[in-house]
Amino acid sequence: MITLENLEVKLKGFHLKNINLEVRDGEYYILLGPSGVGKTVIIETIAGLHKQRSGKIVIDGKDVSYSPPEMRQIAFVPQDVSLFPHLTVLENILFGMKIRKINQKVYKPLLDDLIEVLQIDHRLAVFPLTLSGGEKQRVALARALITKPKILLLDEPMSALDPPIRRQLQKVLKEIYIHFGVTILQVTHDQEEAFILGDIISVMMDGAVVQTGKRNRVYFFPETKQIALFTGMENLFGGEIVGLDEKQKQIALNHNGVTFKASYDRTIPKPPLFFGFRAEEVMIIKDDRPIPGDIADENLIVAILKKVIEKGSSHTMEFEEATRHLPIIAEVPNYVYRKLKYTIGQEMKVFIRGKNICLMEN
Amino acid sequence: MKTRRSLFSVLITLALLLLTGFYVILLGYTYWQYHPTALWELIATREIRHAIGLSVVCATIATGIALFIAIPASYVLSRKNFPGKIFLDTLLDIPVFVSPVAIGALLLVFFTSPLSKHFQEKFFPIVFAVPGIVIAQFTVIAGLAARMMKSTFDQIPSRYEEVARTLGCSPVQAFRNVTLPLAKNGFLAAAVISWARAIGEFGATITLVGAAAMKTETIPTAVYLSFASADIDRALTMVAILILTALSGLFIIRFIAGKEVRF
Repeated sequence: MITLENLEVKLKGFHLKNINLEVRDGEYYILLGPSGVGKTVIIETIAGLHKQRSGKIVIDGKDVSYSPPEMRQIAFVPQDVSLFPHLTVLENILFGMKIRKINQKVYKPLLDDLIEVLQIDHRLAVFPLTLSGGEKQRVALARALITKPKILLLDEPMSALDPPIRRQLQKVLKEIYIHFGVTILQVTHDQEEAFILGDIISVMMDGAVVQTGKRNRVYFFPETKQIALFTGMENLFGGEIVGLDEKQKQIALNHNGVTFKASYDRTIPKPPLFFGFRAEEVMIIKDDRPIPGDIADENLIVAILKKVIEKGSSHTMEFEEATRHLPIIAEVPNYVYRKLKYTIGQEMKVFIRGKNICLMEN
Repeated sequence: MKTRRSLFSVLITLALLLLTGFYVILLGYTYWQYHPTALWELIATREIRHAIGLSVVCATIATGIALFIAIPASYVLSRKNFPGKIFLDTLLDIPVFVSPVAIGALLLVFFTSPLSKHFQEKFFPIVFAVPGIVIAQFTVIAGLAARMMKSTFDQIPSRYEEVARTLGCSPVQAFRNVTLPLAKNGFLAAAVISWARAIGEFGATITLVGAAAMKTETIPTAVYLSFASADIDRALTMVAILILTALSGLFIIRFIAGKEVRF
């Protein structure tokens, strides 16, 4: 387990304070945040490449705050992977083994396994200069994993890759995570990547960790408007509480004359209150379909379709609430959109389940 | 576009031909005009053989010492930040802007001081002695070697060392296994240039150690002595010897150090 306790790091252009993280054994932990908030500084400080001003880094119960990188039993794959250009792929992979003078018999089974899982057997004799971006990442992962680290630190491993290669590598990362049972702490600014890969996600904003939780919790229930915006929650509104049932944990929120009913499972944030819901949680009710009894009392809104954006794998439908012109965005899969056969300007009903509405601070 | 590109190619090729042609014409015209004494006859003399041997040995030792010190010194300058770094960095350029004779004068004054005299009496002589040649050559080339090595280290991202550290290397192991191999081309260039500069060094050497035949006479001082005694033929033959010795040395360094360079 890796714990950061009140870590403070000051570098040129960065001052990170009160960073607290806890990565449990076997977790795929994502540190998510926009570029320039200090995610890389944190991961590099864990690796021992920067000295902290105060606070502690504890790995498996041992305080390594002042240990050199080679004594921390971590492996670090930087954004640019930094394969050694004077060594072949195989020499790169075995670099850590040679330095530690580990016998070939010890690492051979793991080496064979890594080469197979990462599919790099045909590239072992070449120099890194001739590798593609995806291959470089795979080699860097093999080089890191062969040392059997307590934790694998990945700094934006996919930022320089084309989308198809990125998707491939995401699969590879998930596979090595499952296959080798390694604990991973990855830094990324890509919220989609974070939600595909991470078990636990910490969101960083302005040099501080602002929310930590399981993937779905962070994805569907961001704690602040800023996090919601960053994680791509399209429907966001300022809200005024117009009804509260503390026993049933139900709340009614008004925005510009439109009332939404939401359920909540934690303390109601302090005003000014915001609420929101993800576009893919907006259901479109066909005119010819009867409205199920259990939803009739929730957030059934009459809206007019204003715009449709084709996104390849899905469609974004932009609505306006019929009377108050409240904008509502829905994300529907292609097959649903094709089935709906709606036209711009058409009036229809959209529905949002109260349990999918999230309350948040400003 | 094609015409412009071909004009560019012609211009850069012309510049190369001008530069190399200038040296060829300089040498060709001189030797065509003066018909220097038979080269082998002069090489056969003990005095010249001694001068050649002394030049090669001293230049090699001076280059070795210069690189031995320049590599770690330039590494520190390249990787670390500390107060006074810019000042120390600028000091490396002293041999570039101070003429070799002036450096020789500084060395002579320093090594004739009472403390230096005491040192020389106790250990080995420097002024007007062979170790003085090595010191003169070292003084002229060390800054140059450090400057070249620093620019080499500057071009190698420190990220490689950081990754090596996370893979289990101590700072020394990271330097030895990653940075030094990556600096090989720069090291080769620094060795070649430093050695060539050392073997042709004249000003600082003659000021510190003089030009005693069979004692402190190097090839450049032999050239000077020949010209001073108006023996143009002998001087030009010595120039030819200097060129051949330097070219052979540079070729050998490139061959030994360069055959494993592969990136």
